[in-house]
Amino acid sequence: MLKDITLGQYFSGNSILHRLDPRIKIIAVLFFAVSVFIAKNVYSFAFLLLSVILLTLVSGISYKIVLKSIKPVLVIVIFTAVINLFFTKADETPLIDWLFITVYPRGIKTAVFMIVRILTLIVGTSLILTYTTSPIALTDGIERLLSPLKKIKVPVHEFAMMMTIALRFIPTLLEETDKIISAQKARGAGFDEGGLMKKAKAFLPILIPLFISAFRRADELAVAMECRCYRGDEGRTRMKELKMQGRDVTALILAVLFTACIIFFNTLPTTLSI
Amino acid sequence: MGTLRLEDVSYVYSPDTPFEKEALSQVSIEFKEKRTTGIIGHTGSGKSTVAQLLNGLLRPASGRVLLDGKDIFENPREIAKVRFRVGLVFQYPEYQLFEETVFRDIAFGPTNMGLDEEEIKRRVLSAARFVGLPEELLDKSPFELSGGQKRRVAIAGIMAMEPDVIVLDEPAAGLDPRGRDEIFSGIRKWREERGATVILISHSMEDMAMYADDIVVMKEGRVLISGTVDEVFCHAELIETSGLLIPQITSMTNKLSSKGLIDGDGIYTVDRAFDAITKALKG
Repeated sequence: MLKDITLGQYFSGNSILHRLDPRIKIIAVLFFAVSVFIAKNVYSFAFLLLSVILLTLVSGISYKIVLKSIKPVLVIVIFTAVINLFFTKADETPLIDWLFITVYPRGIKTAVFMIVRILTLIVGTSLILTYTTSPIALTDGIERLLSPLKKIKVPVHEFAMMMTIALRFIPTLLEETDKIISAQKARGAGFDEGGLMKKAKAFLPILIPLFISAFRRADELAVAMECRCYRGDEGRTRMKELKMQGRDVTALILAVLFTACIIFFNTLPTTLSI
Repeated sequence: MGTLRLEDVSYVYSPDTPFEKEALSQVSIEFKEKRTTGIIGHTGSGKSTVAQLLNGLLRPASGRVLLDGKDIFENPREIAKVRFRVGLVFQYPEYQLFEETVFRDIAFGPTNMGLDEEEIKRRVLSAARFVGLPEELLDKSPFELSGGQKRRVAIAGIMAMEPDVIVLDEPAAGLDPRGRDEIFSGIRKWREERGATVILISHSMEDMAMYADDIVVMKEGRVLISGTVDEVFCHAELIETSGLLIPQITSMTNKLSSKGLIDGDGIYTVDRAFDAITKALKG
């Protein structure tokens, strides 16, 4: 059950998206996110949708998985849409005016645009970053992008290492939690009966073994790292050096052009805008 | 009381994702009452999946699991009752201890069953005796114990629920030879005194030869052979195709017998090999 979480999960593959330099992908995601938020009329939103569909095709990840990633945010999407639908006020004749419910055409527009905005944001960033970049490559990219901060004594390498370890252990701990839950269920533990206090108490048989195993793993990992002579950033070399290639430069230019397109579409005259 | 049967059971992990994996396909096994059945197979053969299907932790994708002839999922709300009747000891169960004292940890299962204090105490003491835990350890924290002792506490925790069937997934993994013997003979003693059914999961043929009555050999999510220990060990070559090693003594005596030096196929204990060889030498 816990294994079914797909948000923030990496799907290995060999598409052009997978092979891009992680630094470029991080920068591209920034451009993408900014574009999603400045988009404000029907042309720019259509362009966003189109490009997300294109990204899905390029990534080679099945659309089923992509759709599944939307599931956890569905509640937020619906909530936002409903709020926008009923609470947008405008100086026009309302479409529906019944008791305390008033719906303006502008409200419908805003609701639809909001849905597109949230969905493209989630799907787009997942496709560019988490689905197609292994956690190791991702933290490597972050470390390299932030490395100028080392000059002012920010422990960038240590942060990146901590992130790598944290990401690395999420699946392990999930699996462990699953196992412990099963084991306690086998001893008749119930997790959904009784009041709040009883429910909270029911989680102790899971949390205690989980914490103990997390500490044990941390200890073992520290020893294993020391055995391989890990002593931080200084003088550390890499097996996979990040090198910019032609395609990375192309991708960067495309990302800039993408934002430029959104800005351009925003200026086109239309009544369908927010 | 205590016959378990799998009927055409299939199970798929993470269906509809790229990680989809069929763990079991159309498996039928009968676990006979009051006997020790060993499930044996290579890593990934589906034996641990079988364990979790038996007490309803996993629900079969198709097929049924029958406890005394009744589908365990007949009434899904009552599944907790099934779990009290079919005790499951996971692999490395010592990582699931959490209570302040050994006594309270063993008592966790019986407490969830809603028994009164008197009965819980009786069950905890009796379970501790079966696994060979001295009484003075019962007031200690489980985290102060050695690895082998923790394992015993965990097994006692299931035994204290006094289930009709106990399923143990690699109960002796990582223990030294003496620890193995003690755990296995504790389980045997428990079965004899309580008249319960025992299901052992292991990949060690030697353990199975010593402690099981019936054996089910699994390969890639299917049953390769099943039968009594004698029947199964007669098919040495077939077992070896599943990536398992037959006991050393069996592979030696099979060679001797194929050369016509001794009489007897499928010998799996040193005692029997000794008898067969002395008989051949005398005759």
